[in-house]
Amino acid sequence: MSFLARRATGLLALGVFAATFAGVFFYAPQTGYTRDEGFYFDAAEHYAGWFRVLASDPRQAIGEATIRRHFEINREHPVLVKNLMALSYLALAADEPARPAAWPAEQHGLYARAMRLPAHLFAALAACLTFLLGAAVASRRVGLFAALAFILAPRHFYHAQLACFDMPAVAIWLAVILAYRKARGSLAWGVLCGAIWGLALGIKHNSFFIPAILVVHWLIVSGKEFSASRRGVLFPRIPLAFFSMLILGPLVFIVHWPFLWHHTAERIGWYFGFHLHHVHYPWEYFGRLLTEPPFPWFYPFALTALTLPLPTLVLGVWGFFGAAGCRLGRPLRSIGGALLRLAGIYPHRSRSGQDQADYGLDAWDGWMLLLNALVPVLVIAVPSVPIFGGIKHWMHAMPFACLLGGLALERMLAALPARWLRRARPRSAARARHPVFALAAALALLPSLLGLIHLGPYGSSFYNELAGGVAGAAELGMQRQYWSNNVTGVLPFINDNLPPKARLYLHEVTGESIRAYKRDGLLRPDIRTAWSPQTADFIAYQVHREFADVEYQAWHEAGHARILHGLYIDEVPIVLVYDLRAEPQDGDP
Amino acid sequence: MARRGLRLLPLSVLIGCCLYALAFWALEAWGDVPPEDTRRASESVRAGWEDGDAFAIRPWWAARAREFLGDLDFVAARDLASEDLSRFRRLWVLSLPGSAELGGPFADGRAMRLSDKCFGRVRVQRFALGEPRRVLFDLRARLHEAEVRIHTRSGPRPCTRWVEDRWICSREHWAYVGQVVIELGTDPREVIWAHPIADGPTEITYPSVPGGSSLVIFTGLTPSAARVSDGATVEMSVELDGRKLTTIVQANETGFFRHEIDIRAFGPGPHQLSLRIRTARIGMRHFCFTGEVRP
Repeated sequence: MSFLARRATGLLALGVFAATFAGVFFYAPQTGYTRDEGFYFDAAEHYAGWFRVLASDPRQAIGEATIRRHFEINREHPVLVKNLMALSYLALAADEPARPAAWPAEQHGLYARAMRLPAHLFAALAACLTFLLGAAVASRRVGLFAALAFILAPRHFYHAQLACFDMPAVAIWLAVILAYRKARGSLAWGVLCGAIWGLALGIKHNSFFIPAILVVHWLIVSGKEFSASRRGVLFPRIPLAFFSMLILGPLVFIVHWPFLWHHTAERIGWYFGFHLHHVHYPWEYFGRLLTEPPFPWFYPFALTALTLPLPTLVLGVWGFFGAAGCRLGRPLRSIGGALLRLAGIYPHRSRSGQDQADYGLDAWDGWMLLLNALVPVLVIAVPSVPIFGGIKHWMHAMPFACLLGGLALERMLAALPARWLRRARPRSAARARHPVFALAAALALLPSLLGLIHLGPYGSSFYNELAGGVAGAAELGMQRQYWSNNVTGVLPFINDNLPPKARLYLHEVTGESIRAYKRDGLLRPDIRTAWSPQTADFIAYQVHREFADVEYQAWHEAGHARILHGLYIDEVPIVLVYDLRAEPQDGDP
Repeated sequence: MARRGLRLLPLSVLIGCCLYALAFWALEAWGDVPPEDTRRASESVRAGWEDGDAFAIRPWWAARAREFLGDLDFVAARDLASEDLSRFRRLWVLSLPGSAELGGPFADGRAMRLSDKCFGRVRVQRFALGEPRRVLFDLRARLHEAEVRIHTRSGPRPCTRWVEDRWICSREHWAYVGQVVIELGTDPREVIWAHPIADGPTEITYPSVPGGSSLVIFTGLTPSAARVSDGATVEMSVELDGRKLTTIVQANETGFFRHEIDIRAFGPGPHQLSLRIRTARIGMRHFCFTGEVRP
């Protein structure tokens, strides 16, 4: 066996990592800075200050006052990603001036590039781990398909570019699941699994749900080993990983976050309290503005159905129900079997007459994929859970859905008659399916790529073919953007046309993001920030249903509804610039 | 044979979806409306513009034409067919491809289509709406002439400070009576903001209003106000020359609700019109109104 053949999985994983990183890293400078990113940039700079103190005076660095001074900011989120951002900033951008020396700026985006770098590495890791999980549970081609289907989905690709926690959370979620899977036969992985979960807690709070999924999974796959008799109740062996998660998880969580080194219980309590009582931001959904619970339980399912590229959606749903049908056992097998037979994906019987592993998966892997594809979505389906932020809150379910989609594609192709696979011979039928699989996968992934290209840097506005794209979403009354990053679509006009020292209200853009735009040479430094239409000469209004009155206020202030300039996607207005001055000067836009 | 067909059904469905998706993105890429089409269409509207004209854009969310026409009278209603367009003589409608056909008076001939042209992918229709109604007195436009006071327990307290477009009635940023453009129902409306105040009823008096055949008043609460589940109703009593005409009760509902009062019996005037606004609980009562005297 050649070196390449022996190392194919590793090399492919490396390739997926490198390609994803390159794609995200080189594309990201076109994508605007989100509201949250502005806060995280700011926090990371504060944390960088602490690292400087740590390097110069470690004893002072661990003192409560120093830690509080640097880490109190943005204490509602753990700091693993922000710490990495801080280190990246120190390494790459700390010496950059706060404002470009001249205008137009000689270089653009170095500050944000440094801040986003860790998240880009996590995004590459997410794609890579999706591939590895697919290769482990099914085949390399299923893994490769799933990794590509996941990262090419425009909403996912958008989140992959941001210095936020959502894509890192996906990567670390996958890492925990992979470690837990490996821990079945390895003591070391059992221990490591706990440590990785600790890192997961250090990224985002949705990782607290991982143990629940693993326990449910354990109960299901080990269910037969439970017994109760006169001799007592017998439990199956509890995985070592559970113990390591119990011990190492909280330990790593506290160690990674200096702010928790003092007043630990009080500060952890505050952290939980913040997320348990999180405010609800309005969200447009089928013509309604959802502002407070109870939210429609169908919300995450509907939004997934309208934002995942159609072929990926069809495969994911088919794969999920196919695998679920196989797993749910005899009571439902008759129904599931009928459906599967209809679908041509009923598990084949081996020549020995025994059932083969259902849907190409054994029970352990099957349940793992199903639970991870479903539970994160179910969490958001609870009517009292905040729903803002679009799909990012259940994005960690999507690699698993894409893996199930890859399996579904495999099964669909298995239904092809052998004679259609011209070069197929009985002994190499599986190999002969490689090109067919590649062709079908390319066909299924191409719409994702086209959607990605069509939307460009405005990924938060993406709606799929089922929704009718952005225009369809406007017609349906769906939220067409969030987080304010689309403002980059009008910044070149603003830079080129606004008079010197104009007062500009960049609606929904935070002060931190404005500072970053100026720092990165994307917004003219002389432009002054206004915080309302009443105090502004110009407004760049982000079209949001919840903020409709901001635009009407601009009409009232200006005395007309004339748009000076706009960012439109498929003619749907996204960001509109108005001149609010009573008497524009000669030569002004 | 049928069994094999069924086995291939999922793959067929997938291929169908892929082809549909590919066609969709191809059409999205090639089917864009060039901005130049909108510019040309807008120029033709401006060239033919006359007093009493207004324009609308279909679908309702489209906006680019306002880059060229936004200084002209614009009807920003989602549902043109049920909109009160009686202020206008003619309506220009610029439509993007795929827009639904206009219904109501535009379909049944009450609004006669005068022209229908396409500029590339943008369609421009011009409709005759009939003689525009005259307005003898516009409450919003003449708000600066009004006297505004709060009837507190200790007596009336006038709001004497007029700032730009509003009478200031207290330090609270929302406690004013002023001209706004605000969303009522699903559309922006040029109205008077008159949030009830805890101290007592707000009275708005127009000292010199000409007589006419009817006083038409529109009221509404903003969407955010109407979302308050236990939001109180807002009452507005209407008096002309000290005689109570009616009390309008605005339920906890967003919209732009029309109320017409016959005032022919009062003669040519001038009259004193008083509007008194109150509510049981002031929380989130984003109450707005406007009105006019019609001949």
